[in-house]
Amino acid sequence: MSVRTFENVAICGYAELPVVKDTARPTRSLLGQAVAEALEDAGLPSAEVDGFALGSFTLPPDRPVNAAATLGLDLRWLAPQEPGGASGIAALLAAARAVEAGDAEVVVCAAADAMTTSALQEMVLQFNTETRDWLAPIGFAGPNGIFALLQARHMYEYSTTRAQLGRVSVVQREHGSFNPSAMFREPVTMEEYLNSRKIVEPLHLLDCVHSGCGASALVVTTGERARSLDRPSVAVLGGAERVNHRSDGGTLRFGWEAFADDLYEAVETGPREFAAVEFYDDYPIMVCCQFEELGFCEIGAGGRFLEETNLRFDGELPLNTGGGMLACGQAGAAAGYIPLIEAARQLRGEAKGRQIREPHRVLVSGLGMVGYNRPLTTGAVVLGAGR
Amino acid sequence: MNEPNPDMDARAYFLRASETDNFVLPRCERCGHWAWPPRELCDRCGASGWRWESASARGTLLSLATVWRGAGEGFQEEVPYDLVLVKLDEGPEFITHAASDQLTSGKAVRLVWRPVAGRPWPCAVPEEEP
Repeated sequence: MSVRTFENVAICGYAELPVVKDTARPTRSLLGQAVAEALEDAGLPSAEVDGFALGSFTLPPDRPVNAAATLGLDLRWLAPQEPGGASGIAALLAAARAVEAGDAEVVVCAAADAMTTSALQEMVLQFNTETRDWLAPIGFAGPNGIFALLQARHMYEYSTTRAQLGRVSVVQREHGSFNPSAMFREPVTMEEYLNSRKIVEPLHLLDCVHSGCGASALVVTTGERARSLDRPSVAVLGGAERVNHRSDGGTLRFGWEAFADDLYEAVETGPREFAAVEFYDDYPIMVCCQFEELGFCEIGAGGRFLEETNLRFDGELPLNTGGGMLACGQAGAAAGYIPLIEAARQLRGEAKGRQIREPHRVLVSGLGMVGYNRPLTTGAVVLGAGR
Repeated sequence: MNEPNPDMDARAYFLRASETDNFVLPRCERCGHWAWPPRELCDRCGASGWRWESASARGTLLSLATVWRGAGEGFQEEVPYDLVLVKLDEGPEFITHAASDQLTSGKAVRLVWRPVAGRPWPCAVPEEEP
């Protein structure tokens, strides 16, 4: 079995700072605010925290240990996370394992990044050895260049169109208009999407996320402990992750194919039975690829699937109901928490103005850490309504 | 290339091949598997020994993307330019610039040294182009 299931793990609190374009605050300050708010949401004092899973690009010179110290956490379990779009899922899975094994009882999972424009530019060119040595010297245009090549390939091999992919941006920007903490509150039309300015063709402006500064945190504990608190909790049912997946099916498969069927079997929920899906949306093409690899449609049929499926929060398969990164912005590693926190919000019935009907189970998925020609990490987790 | 695997920076060695109009890739000493970009262990057999060897400099264009904005320092004046993903005949995928406006996905290409930001780099042209 390539997946892990959990009988007795719950999310009992969360917090998410709205992403802002720029800030004078250091990463640790954003982190501190998110952790304090998440613990307050859970109704737990920080003295109860004994586990910490943290991801961040911009934490240096500090390390997760220093973050624990500045937050005043006295820990018996610390799990530094690889940052990136799958880090929220990876952190949650690590925390769930620790809680179930008894290595920790109250774990804070968090990510924070003060990703100012200058910090972003520096990071993009030095993202890893492959990027620094073989892509930056030829003006690869950062992740936009890599994902533009991926999208162009999908469009060529499967006749996927921009109008199909645009449905992701249009529905998510509408969802963002219902989300008070979204960076972009104005909806966009398909025409605006299609005619937005070219960035790296076939990617246009409304395919791209806006970088910024923010932080997110989740509090994870046992089912019993969660039930003893005043707030509704969210059950962590199961999940899986994959690093450096090598597919027999070519480079348009990134890792979810390795565990999707097992995950659905383990949680006894098929892809079309989820009340909503919260996917990592660094670009609409990756939302398309997640639908394909996670078994909502055949590989290559993602464009048609987007065209034929009502993805609105009140539609047949709600997608990224808070607007995702396309509406909320991308605060470095904290962006990997956007799908998780929106899922928790929906499952607790707290998604005002965009609440899905009968939230039962939500599929959350992520990807991250783009290497030479593809993202290197993927993950997915299934969350369910608590008590 | 018959000279021993050089104890020098991979990038410098790769670029030095432009002086002889050559195109070199790392090849596993044990199983003969080709790699790009250079890596520590062979992703087929796990061995750690590599040699740079002359490669065909031919492949198939998998996709093409045109940079208009966000090109980054040193490239803003070059826009628009085309990035391409080439499936090399040896197997690995190679990201480079198009040095021709006649390239489309699926087309057979070869790599020729052309200036990119003022320095030689193996760029893609149609296979039939002289």
